[in-house]
Amino acid sequence: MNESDTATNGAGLSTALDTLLQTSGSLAGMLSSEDGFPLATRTKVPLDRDCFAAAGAIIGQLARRFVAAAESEAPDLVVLESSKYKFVVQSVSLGYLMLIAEPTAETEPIVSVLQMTSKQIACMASDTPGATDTDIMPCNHIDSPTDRSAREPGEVRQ
Amino acid sequence: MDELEATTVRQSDFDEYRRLLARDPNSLRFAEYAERLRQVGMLKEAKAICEEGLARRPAYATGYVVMGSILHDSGQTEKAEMAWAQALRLDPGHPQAHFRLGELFLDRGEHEKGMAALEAALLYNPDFPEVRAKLVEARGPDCGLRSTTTSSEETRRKPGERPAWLTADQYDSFIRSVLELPNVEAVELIDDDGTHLAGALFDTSTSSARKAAVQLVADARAMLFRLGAGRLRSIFVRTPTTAARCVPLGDLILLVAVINQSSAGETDRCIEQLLDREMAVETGDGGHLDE
Repeated sequence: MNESDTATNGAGLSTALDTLLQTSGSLAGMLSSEDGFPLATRTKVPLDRDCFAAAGAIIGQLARRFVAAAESEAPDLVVLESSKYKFVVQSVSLGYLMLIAEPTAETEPIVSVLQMTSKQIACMASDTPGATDTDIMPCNHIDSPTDRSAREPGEVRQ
Repeated sequence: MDELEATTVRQSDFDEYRRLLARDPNSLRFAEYAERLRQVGMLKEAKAICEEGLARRPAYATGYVVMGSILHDSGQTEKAEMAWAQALRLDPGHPQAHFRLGELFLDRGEHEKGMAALEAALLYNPDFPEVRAKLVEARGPDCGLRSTTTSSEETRRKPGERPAWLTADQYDSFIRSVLELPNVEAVELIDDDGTHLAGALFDTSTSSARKAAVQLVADARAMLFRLGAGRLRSIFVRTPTTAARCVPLGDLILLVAVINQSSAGETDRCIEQLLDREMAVETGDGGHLDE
């Protein structure tokens, strides 16, 4: 990691985001609240942490509006591709978890790791009711990143 | 003599604005007046009028657009950029503000930002000949956009009129090609105002879903622009039961429903390859459609 930037003292979240950044092509991992406030960020490259974290929430909300109009269920995953970045956003219990990657990065491994990390975060939140980003501890029971059935109904905000 | 007549006309024109603003100091016409003054090179007067107007109407985005132009003509490009940015803060969809910023970025050699701003201008006002001309100039003649050498009437999009690389007679075969890709369940091509063009993804009763797709693409483009994060290529949205991909294709949007549990990456690659092939056939190169 060339540069790192952590907006939280929460060792658990930092560890989770570090795991995210091990994915090939990843540039930054961010967890933001539903209203776009950065809860935790880890970046490999200089990025405006606040703006990009807010973007994660915006992407999540745009997708939610879209599926609501299509009378579908709430989205659990959004992949927004631009000429500069690939934004992969997953709804989690705390808000939105986002991995920013190079535009050429493979989507599938990112999605797998993101699911694993979101499970980890959900586990942290459920282990410590009322936990904040500074006192969440790591969770030990994590599914394999290849386990595609890892998503559970209670894990993803509906 | 001609110059004298022109000056006389200009003065009487300006007198009218002065009377109007004297009658109603809160009128938004100050921006028009300032713009006219700017166009004839009376920058000092234009700036004073604009400053006074903005002091009274600080939420008027067009006022900031005009102020930016005055500052730009005065050589104060940084302040001009700030004024145009302020216009966009007040009205994120102000085409003229996007256009002026786009021109400024291109002049500075910031190609990507410039192109994104021009595309945003066109997004919010598809009938904007100056933007089309600038885009054609920046991208080259094979970009799929018609330049503004045509009249305004010809430039206005008509129903059934599409970018050069995908014409109306190709819609059905294009849709069929996408449908043949693995994991694709349904495909629909819509216009940038949500009008159905070909294929079928949503029931006819849910045209609001098409509008929502248009809105999704527009909002995503605006967000990327504000973030300086490049141009939009696609948006993939997955729910527990369905998955869909929105791909902006110039002023069209391709909506692709894919099998929920399929590999997003594989489907993406297939669609990209197909689009690149279509693009290559039509334009002679393999560049990405939204670039």
